[in-house]
Amino acid sequence: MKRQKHLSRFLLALAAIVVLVFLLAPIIAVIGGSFNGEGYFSFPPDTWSVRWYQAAASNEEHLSSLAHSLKVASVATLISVVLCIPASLALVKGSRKLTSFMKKIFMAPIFLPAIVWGVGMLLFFGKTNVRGSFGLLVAAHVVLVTPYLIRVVGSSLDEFNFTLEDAAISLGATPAQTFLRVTLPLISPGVVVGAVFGFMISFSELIITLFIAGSNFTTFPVRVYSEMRTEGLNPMVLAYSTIIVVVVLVISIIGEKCARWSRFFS
Amino acid sequence: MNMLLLPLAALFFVMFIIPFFYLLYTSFLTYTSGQVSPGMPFTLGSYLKFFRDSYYAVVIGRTLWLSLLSAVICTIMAYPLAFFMARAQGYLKTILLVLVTLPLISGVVVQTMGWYGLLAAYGTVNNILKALHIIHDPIQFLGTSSAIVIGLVQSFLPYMVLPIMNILQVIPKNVLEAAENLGANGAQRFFRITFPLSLGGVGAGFVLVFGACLSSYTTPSILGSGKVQVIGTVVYQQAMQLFNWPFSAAISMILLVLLLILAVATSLKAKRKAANAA
Amino acid sequence: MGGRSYMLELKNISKSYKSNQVLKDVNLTVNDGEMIALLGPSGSGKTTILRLIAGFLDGNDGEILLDGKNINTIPAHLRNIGVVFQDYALFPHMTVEQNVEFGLKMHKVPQEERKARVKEALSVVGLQEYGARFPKQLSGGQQQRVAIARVVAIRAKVMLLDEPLSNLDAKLRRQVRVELKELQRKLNITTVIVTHDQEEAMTMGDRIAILNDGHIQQLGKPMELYRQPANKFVAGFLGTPSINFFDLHRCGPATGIQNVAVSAPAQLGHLSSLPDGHYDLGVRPEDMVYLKQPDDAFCLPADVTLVEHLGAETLIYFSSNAKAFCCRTELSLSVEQGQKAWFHLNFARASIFDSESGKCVYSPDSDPQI
Repeated sequence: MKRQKHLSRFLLALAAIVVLVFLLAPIIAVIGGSFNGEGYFSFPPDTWSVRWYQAAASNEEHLSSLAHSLKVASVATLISVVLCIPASLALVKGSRKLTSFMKKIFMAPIFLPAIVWGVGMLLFFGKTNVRGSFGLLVAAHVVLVTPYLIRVVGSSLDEFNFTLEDAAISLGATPAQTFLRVTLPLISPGVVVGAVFGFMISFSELIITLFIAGSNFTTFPVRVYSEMRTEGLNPMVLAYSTIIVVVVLVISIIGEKCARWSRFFS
Repeated sequence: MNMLLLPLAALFFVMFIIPFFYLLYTSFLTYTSGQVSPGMPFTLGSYLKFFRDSYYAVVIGRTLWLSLLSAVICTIMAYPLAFFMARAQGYLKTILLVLVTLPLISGVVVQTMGWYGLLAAYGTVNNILKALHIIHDPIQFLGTSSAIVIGLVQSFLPYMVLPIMNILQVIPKNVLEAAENLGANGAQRFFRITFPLSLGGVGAGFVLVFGACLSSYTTPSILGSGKVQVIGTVVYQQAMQLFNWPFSAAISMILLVLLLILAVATSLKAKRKAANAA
Repeated sequence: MGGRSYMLELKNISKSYKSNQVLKDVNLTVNDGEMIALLGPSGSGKTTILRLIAGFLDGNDGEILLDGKNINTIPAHLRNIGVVFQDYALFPHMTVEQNVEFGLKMHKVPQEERKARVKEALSVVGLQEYGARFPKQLSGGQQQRVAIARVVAIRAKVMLLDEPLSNLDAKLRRQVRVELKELQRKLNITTVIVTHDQEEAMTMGDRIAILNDGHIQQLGKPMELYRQPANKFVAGFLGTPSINFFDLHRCGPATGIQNVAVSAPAQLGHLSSLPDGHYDLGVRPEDMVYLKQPDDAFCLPADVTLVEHLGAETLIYFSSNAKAFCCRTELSLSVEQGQKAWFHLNFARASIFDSESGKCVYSPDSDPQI
């Protein structure tokens, strides 16, 4: 009886490990391949070297695409935070029918195909003079990032005790003072988590950016994708990706440990 | 209070709602080859082209089949991991959660790069197979449907693992204890109680992954190497390479219709389930 | 009465939500320094009254006067009415000191004076040493005291307490009850307590306003309400175990209680002069005497259904004519379930209610002792 239990436990753990390895296989290949001494992809590496990291540190084009990605992600996340906090408050306090409808709209970018949205935007803005502009790209990324922020901030508000607002008012605070001194400080951890989430989603986004970014404003994912289609795999790109993966890993560990943020993924 | 929704709603209206409607509008325009911009008159030409040419029926069929296959394989693979994670505690749980969400956050480009390297003719999988003397010449994985399925399954595994894990965690322990008390052994408890109760999460994950596979572009584009066409790649090709905007728009609309059918079917099933439970 | 001004006055207050009228023409006066309890079951409208006074709700009709001044149009944050919420609502991201200081900041009190008043408020509630702590480090009772200190600091004219004892465990409740009453007397602050617990209201209120269904059923001192209830609802709401309502039937010279004829009308006293009709005779469980055998006075025959020995008293549950009642006695008796029993009813202390309207048609003269 006990042996059967241990056997089934062992098999389960084995199956779980196999699936986990499959899940992480590409990332492992990317990390491993970045240390290959030669100029082609090889995992496990034929020779070990960090030369690609050295090359990565000085490659103008890739570095500028990284800078572009960071720029878009930070501006878009910031704007999204500013827009989503009042919107989330309205979703909690506003009239039922309207808020339930608006919630569906705000969450839609996750469920509708990016490729369709991309073509639509390209067509609609194609004839206007904002096409290819930084502003348009940021606006699209704000929409992209919003569902994550709404989700996370909404969850913070669900846990917020609104009686605290009544208490502040009874003590003489105006609605604005109540928001700034009581509500906002208490939901700010949620806002930070949402912002970090959103930032990373924006940073790694490919399809929308592919369609509407200007030809002189390439983001990192777009650059890597284009190179892959034309030249195949380049270990220097693997080096960049490894760095990104490591940064993401560190942030994920903090996010999971402090805020259990994986619950916002389904 | 409702006014606070306005700025965000306005942005969504312009950036999100209108493009979809503009796309719908474009799907009814006429395409003239050689001309980049489509124009009047309104026509059903694009839709007719789609239904007349069996090539596109094949594309839709292939996309549906690959998505279904991917979703099924994804479910089968996700369940053991989800089950294991549901029982994990403390640091192990945290690490597992971080690892499972890592592919999602690092982005689809990194994943596809990895698969490209693993599945290439000179890549890892072929090298391993050669080393084990299973094959002599490299297998061409890239450019096949199989590669796409592998890529899709791996990309969307987290979206399946997490819902299943969540629903497994919600099953009250004392329900299983009651079953044990009434004489059920481990396997019986799993098949008669745990598994049926987890089907809600399985279903939710399945629909999510299926829809995501139907809509995918990056993975089929890179791992299919242009040789395997799915809806996403056709939409891209027609728009960005052939500049046949109306046709691209029409196919996009058809994809949306497919997703709508999926959504409606899911909610009907959910409503019926709720009615049965009441 | 004329010329006296009340600290808080509610005049003809009505309030409806959608099609549901929650408050119907409520009138209430609270004297300066008085502690009044708003007592009622859930849904009676008492929380609505609290929120109206605080300004979180706008009434549909009527006036609210604070120290003679109409505050209907004054927004909540300018009314300077202190509220102690049921869950205390302390700001979790601020220390105790910052919590108490908050209201002073909002009222733009200069910094020097703020520090002094915070210190004063904290020492009034006995928490001088706790200024640097955070709410989650405090016990429930301590959190409540911080909530009160917040109100004390802003020198509110009126303090509203929402179910102040409900979050505390039974033992703590008794202690806090006494402390709150003492504190209120010391500060001499006009206080309104909202509660559903009649024991809370009876022990803490100088006067009680009993609410049901949006109306104030009766307003008066606790013992007045207990001994001279205005209607069946008030009689039934106060007192545990609740009052017994016996069927009383008057027809000409005949009187019947629970279908048992009263043979000697003289015993009934004033009851015999009641006009013909059906009434409810309200007799409290402690105003009955248990008899093992009947005697000459009027005895109600009954079957004992349950006996509870609580130590200091015994509760005898019995049924008469398929209706259930309770008798409370200090004697420890050997009564058993299933036995036959007889009960004397103390008519001198009984109230009589009209069967249909529930209104009190007769209640005993006020006891000179209360």
